[in-house]
Amino acid sequence: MLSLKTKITFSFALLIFMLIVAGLMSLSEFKKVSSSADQIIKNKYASIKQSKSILESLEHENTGLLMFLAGNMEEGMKIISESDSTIQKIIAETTASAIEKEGKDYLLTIDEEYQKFHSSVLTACRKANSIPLDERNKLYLTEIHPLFSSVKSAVDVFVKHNQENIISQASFVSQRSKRAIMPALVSIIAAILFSIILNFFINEYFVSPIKKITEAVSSFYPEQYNLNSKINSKDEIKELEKEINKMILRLQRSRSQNE
Amino acid sequence: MKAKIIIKYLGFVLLFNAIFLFISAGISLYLHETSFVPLLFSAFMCTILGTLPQVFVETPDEVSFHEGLSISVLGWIITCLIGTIPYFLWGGEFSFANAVFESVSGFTTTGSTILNDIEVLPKGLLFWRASTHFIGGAGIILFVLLILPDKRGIQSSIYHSEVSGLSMMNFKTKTKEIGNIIVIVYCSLVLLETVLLKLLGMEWFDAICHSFATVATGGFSTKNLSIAYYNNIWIEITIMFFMILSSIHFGLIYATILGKKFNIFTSKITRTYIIVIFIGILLVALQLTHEHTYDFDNSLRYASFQVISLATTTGFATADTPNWPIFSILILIYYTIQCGMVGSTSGGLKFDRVYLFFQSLIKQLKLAKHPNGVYSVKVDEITISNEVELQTVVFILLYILTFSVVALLLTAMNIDGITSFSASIATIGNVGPGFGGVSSLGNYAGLPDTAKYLLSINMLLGRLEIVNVIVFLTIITRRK
Repeated sequence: MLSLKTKITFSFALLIFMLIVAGLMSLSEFKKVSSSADQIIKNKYASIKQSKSILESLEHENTGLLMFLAGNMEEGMKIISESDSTIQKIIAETTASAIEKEGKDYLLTIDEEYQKFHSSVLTACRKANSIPLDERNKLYLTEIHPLFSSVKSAVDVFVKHNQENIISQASFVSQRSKRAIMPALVSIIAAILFSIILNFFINEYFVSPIKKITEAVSSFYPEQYNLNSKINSKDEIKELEKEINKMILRLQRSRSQNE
Repeated sequence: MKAKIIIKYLGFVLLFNAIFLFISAGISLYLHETSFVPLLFSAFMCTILGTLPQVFVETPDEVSFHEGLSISVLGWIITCLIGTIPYFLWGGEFSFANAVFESVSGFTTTGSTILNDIEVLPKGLLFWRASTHFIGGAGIILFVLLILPDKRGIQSSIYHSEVSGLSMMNFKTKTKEIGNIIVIVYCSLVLLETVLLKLLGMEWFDAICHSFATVATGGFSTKNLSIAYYNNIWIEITIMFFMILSSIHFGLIYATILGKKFNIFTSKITRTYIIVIFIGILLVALQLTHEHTYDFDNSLRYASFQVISLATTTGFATADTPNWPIFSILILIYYTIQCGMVGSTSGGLKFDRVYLFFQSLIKQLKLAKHPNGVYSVKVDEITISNEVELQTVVFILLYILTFSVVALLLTAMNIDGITSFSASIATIGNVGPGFGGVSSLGNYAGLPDTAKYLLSINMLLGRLEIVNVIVFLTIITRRK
């Protein structure tokens, strides 16, 4: 049978181990929640920011076309090509960093709409020299502006999707946080249960035997040959009882020798 | 009654659960699943709480009947609560009420589920779900006693509270050997069925989980469509065979294997049980054919599976029975009440009690005709004492009273009559599927949380055979 010291040490080791496991699991859950929240917010924020950059560059390209059609061809073409390369780059970067499939689909639509707009811009630039100024305006309003609006609408839908996604992910993260509390909650209940059981054992194996010995000593009368404290355990307290009994025996012997 | 002895054995119960939690966590770790941390955490909690009593309490020299009963009742309750933790921590569809329901349903081998989508669960958690059937099938207390040394009839005291007296009569052996027989037959059936299901085309994982569920007469499947998913007649026949075998007294199966004179084929009550099932199959099949629900072949196929599944309290499904004619539904409800035989893994009322009740009824009718006559009730040539007769009748009355009260309480929660009635019978009988909103291919997800808690208590009452719980409660209140 284990000694009392071993029992107590082992019990506290178990309690510490339980608390460490619970703490580690809670930390891991919270880390997961915070990292997923961080990743989602950063990703969505970046997407919204890049969408705004697409819109700005789109406006630039449109301005460049208007300049080209108004006769400032060199400056206009420069703005168009700069804006095009910026937009292509942003779309490629945003598509690469997009987490979900739905977001990638929206970016594909933006890209398709933009390609239509851009090719119509280049076609208009080629035609511009052969048609008069008022015809150029007509060409812009009938053929290019509707495509420009389509690209803007596609980008707006993507921005709206990201905004909605942030709201829905926020509620998901809130649910995850509640779940992350659960291991801690279970651990608290388990620790309380553990403490109640440990308290019961301490009372059963430490307090109660000591009380029994105390009662036996207080009710001891000189003619008795042993304590008879009714301790059933096989530990140090039982050893103590045995030693007291031996001591009583020795005292009795020495008293009888003196007499 | 010594609390420390009860706590020591409850600690063993927790440690036994921890073994299966560690295995499930291992599966999740291997497959990189999200259920790894919840399962490992639960395993650690079980191990720590289970180890503490082993450190302090020395193995007792004897265990009294009251202590044995308390170990049995509290062991089941603690096991069911521990089983809740991995589900609850994993999340998904598992709210606390759902996790409690799923855990109790698993351990009591009821097999009712609250899951709308079972296939979305990680395999580690699915294995734990199937393990709850395996642990609960033979009874966790029996497993625990099997690994402990027997000192001055400790096993005997606890067996008497875990295994009903009626079932012990048929073992015809010493009490301490009963547990060994149950576990040997149980594990052999699981092993044999797993191999057969694998040979018939199931994945190893599914074969193991379905074997756990069949031999424990549980009914948890790894598929949303249960056994209907496989649409394989040979798999159905194999499962039907093992469902019947698992609902027969394990002592008789053991005796049959050893070639003893008193076996399945010579036992009159077993013959009657099989005949009653076949009559049910025939009646349902004929009506399904007559009503043009299916052609005769399919009627026989679906009727066989559903009748056997409900009569053995397993609860697997190959057809959605609420669409069946009312006569067939009533027959199926009868089998839900009757349940399997004592000494098997099936729960509920038990066929032996129904058999004994009718024998007793015949005896009373004879006595009414010839008041001075001497008549006795016999089950397999064993004369049943008046005391056992009375106990059986009292048990049947208590059983009917319990499921009627639960059904009434369910209707008070605005649940329709057929759902309340069948859910109450199906849970107390540890069958699983009912009718109405909780049909064979449906689930219990739509019920309110209070109903789920109530049905969880009902399942435990069915598994612990009501009387044990009442006696346990009287012991506690008397002590206070």
